[in-house]
Amino acid sequence: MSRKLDSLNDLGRFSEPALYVLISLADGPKHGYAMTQDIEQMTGQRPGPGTLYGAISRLEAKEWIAPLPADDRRRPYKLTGAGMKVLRARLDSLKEVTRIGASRLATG
Amino acid sequence: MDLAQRVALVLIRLHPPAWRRRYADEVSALVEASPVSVRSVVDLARSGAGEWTRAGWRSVVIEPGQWPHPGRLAALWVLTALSYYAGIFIAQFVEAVYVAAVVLSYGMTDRALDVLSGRIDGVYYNVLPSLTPGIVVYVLVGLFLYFGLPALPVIAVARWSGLGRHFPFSTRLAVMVAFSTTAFWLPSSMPVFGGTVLGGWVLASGFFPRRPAAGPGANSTPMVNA
Repeated sequence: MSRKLDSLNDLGRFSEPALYVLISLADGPKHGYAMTQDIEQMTGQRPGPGTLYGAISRLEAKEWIAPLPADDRRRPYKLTGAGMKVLRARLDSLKEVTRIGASRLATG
Repeated sequence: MDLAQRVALVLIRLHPPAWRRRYADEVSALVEASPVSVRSVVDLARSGAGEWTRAGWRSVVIEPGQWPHPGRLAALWVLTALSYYAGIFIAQFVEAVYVAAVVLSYGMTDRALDVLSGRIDGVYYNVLPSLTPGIVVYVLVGLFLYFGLPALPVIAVARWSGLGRHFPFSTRLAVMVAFSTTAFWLPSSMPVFGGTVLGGWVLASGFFPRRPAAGPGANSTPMVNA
């Protein structure tokens, strides 16, 4: 897999929350509160507001997500084409890591 | 609204202005809509520090109307340091005049030394008759020099908008110069210096709310990317 394409690692400590945000937006636009609930359901941990918006601001700067018109004070975000590619690449990478780990466990 | 939510809202207001313009409404709505734990408060404090670092350590690019810009923040630090040293210089000059007045009044005697060490009541009225009531004026001047003067450029720079010019130094450099020189020459004065700069920073961050800009797009200033 291309390491260059999967540049979520560039986000430092925000790379993991950013991955969750991308996954959360993969099935449609969501605002911050909906993302928080979705990520909590997905991972069992509620992301802090600072961490969530730290990830959102970085993803927005890289144009992997895009803001939609605000509904009152809540602004939904959607995944962009570039964001979808990055997410797909990261999931492929994780799939490969999972496969290697599982096979080593089976033979170990 | 509980205490944790109030603290969280204050922490949101302490984020950098560019971040606040873009995200404060959304994050405030999120904080108000869900229970806020101590972990969330710590998370917001950490986020604020991170966003200030992210905004402040960028290369200096002036965008008129968006303040405090890293360049202005750097100017704030340097001007504070310079005015602080100017204040100390003036204070020491006043002190030297006072010493000279004492020596002229009493000569180089033990009594002059007693006067200078402040062991005789009413001494200030005797040696500084022109400053009436001498001690009050002396204390007020001293307070202004040590606390007021350094704050003036801080407040001036904090309210300095639409500059539109480049500064040849970065925030990081200005912070290093200001702190290292103060720490080296006047370690005991660091709390005064730190308090003054902190006050200026709070002013400069726009913590005290201003009337929001009216009209379409007022709330859609683009985030300055790191």
